[in-house]
Amino acid sequence: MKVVESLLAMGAEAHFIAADVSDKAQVRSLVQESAEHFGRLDILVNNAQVVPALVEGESSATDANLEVALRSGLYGSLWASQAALPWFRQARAGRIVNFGSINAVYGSKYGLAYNATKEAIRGLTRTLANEWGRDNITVNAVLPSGWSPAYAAFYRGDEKKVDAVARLNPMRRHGRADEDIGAAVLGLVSEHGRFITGQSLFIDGGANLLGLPQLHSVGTVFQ
Amino acid sequence: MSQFENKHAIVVGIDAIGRGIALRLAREGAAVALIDTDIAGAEATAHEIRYAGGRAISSSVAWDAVRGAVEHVVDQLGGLDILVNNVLPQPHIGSLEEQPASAFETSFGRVHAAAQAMQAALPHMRAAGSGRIINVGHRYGENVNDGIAAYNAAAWGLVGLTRTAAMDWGKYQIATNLLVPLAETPEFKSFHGRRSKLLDLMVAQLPLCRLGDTVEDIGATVLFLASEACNFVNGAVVYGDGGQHTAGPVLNPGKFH
Repeated sequence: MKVVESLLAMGAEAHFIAADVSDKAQVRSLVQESAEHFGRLDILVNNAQVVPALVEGESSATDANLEVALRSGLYGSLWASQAALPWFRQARAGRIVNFGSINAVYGSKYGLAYNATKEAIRGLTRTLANEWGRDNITVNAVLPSGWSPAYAAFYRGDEKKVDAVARLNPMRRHGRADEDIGAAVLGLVSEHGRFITGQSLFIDGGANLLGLPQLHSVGTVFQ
Repeated sequence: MSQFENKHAIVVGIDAIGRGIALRLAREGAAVALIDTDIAGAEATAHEIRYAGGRAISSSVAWDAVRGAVEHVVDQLGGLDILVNNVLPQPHIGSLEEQPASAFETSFGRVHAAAQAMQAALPHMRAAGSGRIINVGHRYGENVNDGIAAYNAAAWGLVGLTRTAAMDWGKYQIATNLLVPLAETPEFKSFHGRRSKLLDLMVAQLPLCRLGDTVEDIGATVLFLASEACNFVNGAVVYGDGGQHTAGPVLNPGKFH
């Protein structure tokens, strides 16, 4: 609710709906309730997904991790998009932004369930871009790298590591949730994004061009 | 106020797409310098911008002297925030074994022209503490097509140049990206005149089911790249193509010549 409070404080209209995105009925009703609350729907951002703990690919936990990641990430994004479609058609336009990951592109170790889901989301993105473009709906995926609580947890307070990773980035810094990731998503859903669809957009200062350091270890949760 | 109101932009290469980009940047309030070997064409667009109340200047240049031209117009503009290199030439049509040396010299010369413009832009963007470089590439810099060897190779070269700048100059908060446009250009209209059924079939397969308008669609994508949206997007290929890169159908100029 902190996010809602800060939105209201800046004078924005905001409405919070709690939902389990791995449950189809809840996803459908959250989209429906949002659209009815505002009277229309123009933009859908599918960022929610369960992030399973990192385990080795041969682990017996992989099946369950995959199940929960796919249901919340892939199916959740699909169900929300399907529920938004009639509203977008009514508005004669729509914007969907899905979330992929550099970890998935490079197959970072021990993240099989997460990685497979994130790449599946890019497949979903391109397919819906092809199918729904005729309704003036754009569907894009972003692959962000930005500072977040999960990202901070990965470094476990190791400031030297935090700085070292920033120095590896071509822009010599970490991404900022608002000014970098938020700004890019805003650009895609704005008038500026009207002719961009099916795109996978890295928002990472160009770090993906250098590959991905395989620093992950079993038992952590960072993706 | 538009976030482009106090920005200074240079567009190198004023064909239909360059014209659309320049018109759009100017419409958003940026002061724009237009550079081309064809000064009459560049000045016509600059005049169009000024007539509409915008700010624009034009400058003539030989493709091997772009560096000096950029330095010259930056002085006139009073700064530089956005550089757009729209430099790839028309392809030379013919199989690889028949491509003359001049085709390669022309195509690679244009990539070099983009590099020169970027080198000239660097000190001004460093002084400003940030900058945006947008190289206009082509689908054949990601796929290829037959019968246009020199063009394919140069289009790929432009991607390498873009990504190198992203690596080398990201630390100055200069974001360098490649735009792959798809627009209704005079070249497309000419193809369409000869093979309308085939081209209509291609356009129908595009996700957004239409070609881009050079000002409204390609211009919008340039605004995306030049705006805060791309603060942390660097070394990327951004498609202002209505989704063509997703859908697949590609024209082959070698076959429709």
